[in-house]
Amino acid sequence: MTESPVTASRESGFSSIKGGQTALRKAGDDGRSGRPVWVELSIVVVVTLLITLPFIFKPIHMDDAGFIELARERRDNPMEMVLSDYTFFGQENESFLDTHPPLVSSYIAFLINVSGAESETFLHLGFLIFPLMAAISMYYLARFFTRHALVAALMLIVTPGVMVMSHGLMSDVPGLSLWLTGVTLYLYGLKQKSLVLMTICGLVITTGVFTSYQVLSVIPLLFAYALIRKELSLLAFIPFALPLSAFASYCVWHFSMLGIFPRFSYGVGEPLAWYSVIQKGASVFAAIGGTVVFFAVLMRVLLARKWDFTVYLVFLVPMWVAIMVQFASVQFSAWAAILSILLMPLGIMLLYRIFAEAWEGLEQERRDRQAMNALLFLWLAGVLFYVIILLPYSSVRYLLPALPPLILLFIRLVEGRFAGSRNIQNLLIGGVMATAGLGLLVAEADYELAVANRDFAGNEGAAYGRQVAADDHRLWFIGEFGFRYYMEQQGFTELPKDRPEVLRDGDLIVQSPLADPRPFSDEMAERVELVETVGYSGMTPFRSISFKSKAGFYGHFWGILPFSLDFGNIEEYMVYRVVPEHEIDHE
Amino acid sequence: MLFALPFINQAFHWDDRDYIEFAKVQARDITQTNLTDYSYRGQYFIKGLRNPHAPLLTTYLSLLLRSGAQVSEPLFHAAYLIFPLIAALSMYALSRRFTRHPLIATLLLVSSPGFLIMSHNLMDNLPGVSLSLASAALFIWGADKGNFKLLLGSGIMMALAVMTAYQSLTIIPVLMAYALLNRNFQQKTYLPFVIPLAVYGLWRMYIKSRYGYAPAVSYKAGLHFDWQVRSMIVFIGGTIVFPLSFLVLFLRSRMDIMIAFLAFPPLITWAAIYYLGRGEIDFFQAFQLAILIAAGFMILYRMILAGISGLMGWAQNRKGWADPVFLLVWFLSVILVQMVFKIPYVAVRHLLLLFPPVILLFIREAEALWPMRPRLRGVFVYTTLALTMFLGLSAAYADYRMAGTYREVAGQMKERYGDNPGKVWSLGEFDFRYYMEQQGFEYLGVKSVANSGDLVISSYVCSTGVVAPLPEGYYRVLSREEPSSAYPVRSMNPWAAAGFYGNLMGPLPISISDAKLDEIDVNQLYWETTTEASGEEQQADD
Repeated sequence: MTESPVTASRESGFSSIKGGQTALRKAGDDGRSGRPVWVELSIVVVVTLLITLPFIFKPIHMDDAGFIELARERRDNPMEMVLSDYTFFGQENESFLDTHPPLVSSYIAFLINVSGAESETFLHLGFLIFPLMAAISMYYLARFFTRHALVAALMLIVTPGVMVMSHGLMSDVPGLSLWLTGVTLYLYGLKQKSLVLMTICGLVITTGVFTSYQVLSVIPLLFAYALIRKELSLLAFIPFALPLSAFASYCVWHFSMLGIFPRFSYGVGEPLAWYSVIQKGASVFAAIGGTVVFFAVLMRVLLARKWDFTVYLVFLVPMWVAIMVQFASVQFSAWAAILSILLMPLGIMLLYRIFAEAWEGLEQERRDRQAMNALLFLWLAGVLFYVIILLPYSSVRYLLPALPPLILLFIRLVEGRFAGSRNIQNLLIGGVMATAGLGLLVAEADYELAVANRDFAGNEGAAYGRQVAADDHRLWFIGEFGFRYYMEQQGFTELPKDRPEVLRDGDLIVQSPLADPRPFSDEMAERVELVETVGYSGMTPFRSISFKSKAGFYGHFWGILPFSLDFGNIEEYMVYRVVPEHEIDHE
Repeated sequence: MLFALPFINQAFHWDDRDYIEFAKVQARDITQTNLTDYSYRGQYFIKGLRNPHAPLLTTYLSLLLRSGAQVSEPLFHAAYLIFPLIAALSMYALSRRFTRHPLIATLLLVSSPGFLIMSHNLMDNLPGVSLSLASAALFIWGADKGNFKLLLGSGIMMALAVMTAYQSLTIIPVLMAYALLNRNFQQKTYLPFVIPLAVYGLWRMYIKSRYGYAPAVSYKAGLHFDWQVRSMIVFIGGTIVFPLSFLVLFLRSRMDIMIAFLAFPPLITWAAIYYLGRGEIDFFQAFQLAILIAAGFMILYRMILAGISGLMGWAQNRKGWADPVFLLVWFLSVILVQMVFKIPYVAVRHLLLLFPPVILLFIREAEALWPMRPRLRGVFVYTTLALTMFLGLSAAYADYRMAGTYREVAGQMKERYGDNPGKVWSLGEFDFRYYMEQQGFEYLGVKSVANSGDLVISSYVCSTGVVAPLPEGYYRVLSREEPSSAYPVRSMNPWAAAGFYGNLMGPLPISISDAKLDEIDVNQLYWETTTEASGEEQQADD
């Protein structure tokens, strides 16, 4: 795949973006940047390693713990789908059915078997393959759409979303990497009419589907691509056959073994309720404004013309009013309000701009039997649809599959708007560097939170554990994710919800509000008193999740911002003691 | 000969013992076909255990005994060598008719795991197949050339084949189909079929007149259709040619890939994930199953595709259209007979007769592979041959090692319990029973009378599912031995999921595994009363 798909690029939506064709002609090249492919690929690989290797010691964090929990079961039974006697967010489950497809847990089980232990470092090393695969695939994909393939690949991997998630053990980056690889192979396979590429594409998409159900979206997307190009041959269908057949077989097997079809959602909340859609939408706009390209660069591109300011103000003013109301009612901190006012209109503006540009190009593509703009357009719209409408909550990691089309459309936008200008290269490189800086800060914030959970469990948690053990009492904890992982490593048990009878006077309860903010039931509240609050501070004011500063990288219920700023503690762990009811000082 | 001679001293194995027992009876009275006063597989037969097999092989072995020879592994195996030789020569003759590379085709057959293992024992499957192949070769050449002598020879060979293994009846409609497909309606072409049918009919009449019943043509067992079909596909994929070669050769066109992509996931789920999810096999065994069912499916698919393209050729009046249709008829006939005979389990030996059409198709397809790159095609074919030989010899050695285990175990038990004051019984069939009896240990049948304190030496592999287990609460396990082999291939082993001689033992025909070979338990019977415990008298003569 070293040859650039020049013709495709020429035939593609470049012609439809004002000035884009001129830019390409002016460059007078064949779509290449002038550097050899191996040099550009080496840069991509080196940069990917530079932003991932320093984080391989990151503790187990967020949903990593759930994948590891299932991986432990898979070591004995490779097809285990259920966790027995599993308490999740305080809810006791006789058998807890995982909502993720099986491959990531199985891969973790494999890595644990190879290393012989649950080593965070080894697991993270084992997961490096995914950001590398994503970056390389993005590079080849971008060669279809832009002369700045290197910039596109770098921009993808340095976005805060990809950077943070590439330091975890969740299914999102593996899913993204397989999605990207599948799409890239399909485009090249269809163009070259290569049975080998299409066969590999089918294998990759299938692997992707069993890594993340979201990858199923690739099938209608690529079908639409082939349909628009009027290339619906047997070859075009080959990559769909294996994933569809495998997924159907998996569903039947799942039903025959467990009596139910696979779960695709935790079933929490009301995803289709209007308030939920608005919250998810706001969160998505903020995430797009904040995590795709550094906001200053975004502003430079989006507000390049006078008319742009008018449009921007149309978006900005109502946002500003809404956020100020929230700020005035003390629901938003100053930083949360500032970032919301900054990022949300930018996100809307970016979407408006690229959809408007892409829409203009569709008619030309229809005439040329091309589908490059349509592919990106549908790709982006599809991901936004299921994140905003179908999924129970919005999160930056769910938006990862939207980043490639966003970045490609953004670069095409830049190429169109700054056609003929010498500043394109500088602007894009500046964008990559600034976004990388932001990504590192958010990644560092997330790393610090993960470390805080591990350190608390190993230090204060362990000390409290020894203390209660000496008195023949127990230490319970409230909280999921990495906090749960390390508390369980210390031998502590999650407190079931609404089960006061399990508590004995003198027991301790430790809660991580970020890992589970649930309040005690009335009956429980009557029996506990706060002993101590243990705060962990961070080196930077950046936060990936924080109720106070509305940072909700992992879900909008923490906050609608993808990241935020806060100068307080990263987390404040609450330590409660169980006492006889009459001893509680309610003051 | 190179593949057979090193194994000539292989211990008698699996059903070999049955043939030896019937041969001994016939050595005394060549017309006698039943074993009287005989305990066998949890039943007792006073009037006689009917020989479920056709008589010719046991008659042949009995002649050796009548000539004064003793039962010995090298002698019997040497006498048996004629059958793989007949098969090889016949396959060569057949391959000359259907391919341009008869030597390769023949070598593939004789080095295939199924053929190689079965050529090292005394069961009637390989002789039946070899004689069927001989009849096919004679018939096809005879019909093509209009040579009545060859056709007559074919008829005789068919009769011999049928009288060696009843399954060989399959070859009769197959060869009739050949004549019809080639529009050969001459009377002399159909005369040879009279011979086997007449011989078989007379044989049935004789047995009926002597014993009052005709030889059974069916096990009359209930079929577990999905279980049978699943194993059949897996066994076909794993015991003929090196399985991955099928995938390389048969996955060439877009349609092949499409069919494979659509069919493999449900097949693999059905065959491998199903067992894996139930914890019956481990991941590596599931992986092997997945490859074998994929290979088996591709064989089935290509046989049918070739047959269909042959029929299309007939419609378009193309030359040579009948050959692939004939190979498909042959292939499907064997599968159909497996179902009609209601064989209650799938075993590689029952599928041997479909090896030749599969190999012939493989060679024909390989001849058309990569037409512009003959050297690469050669590399593929010779690599396949080498890998098939390696696989076949590995499987044969694993089977050899397993068979030898019981000879060794029986010897060790003789040393240990030969002078035991109490009675020592053996519990288990097949080779275990043979060698334990050789060492003087009596078989614990349903009519046996055992006492408290007696020892019972049992083999897990040779007793599970074929003899009644010892009653719970009336015995204690004194010791357990687990014979092992460092050679990591297993042919019949429940822990390795290998069921070459019957899929009851496992869904794989051959398994890569270093699992223990068996569990040999020394049990002591005990009960508090002094009453003798006797098995239920079970008259199982129908």
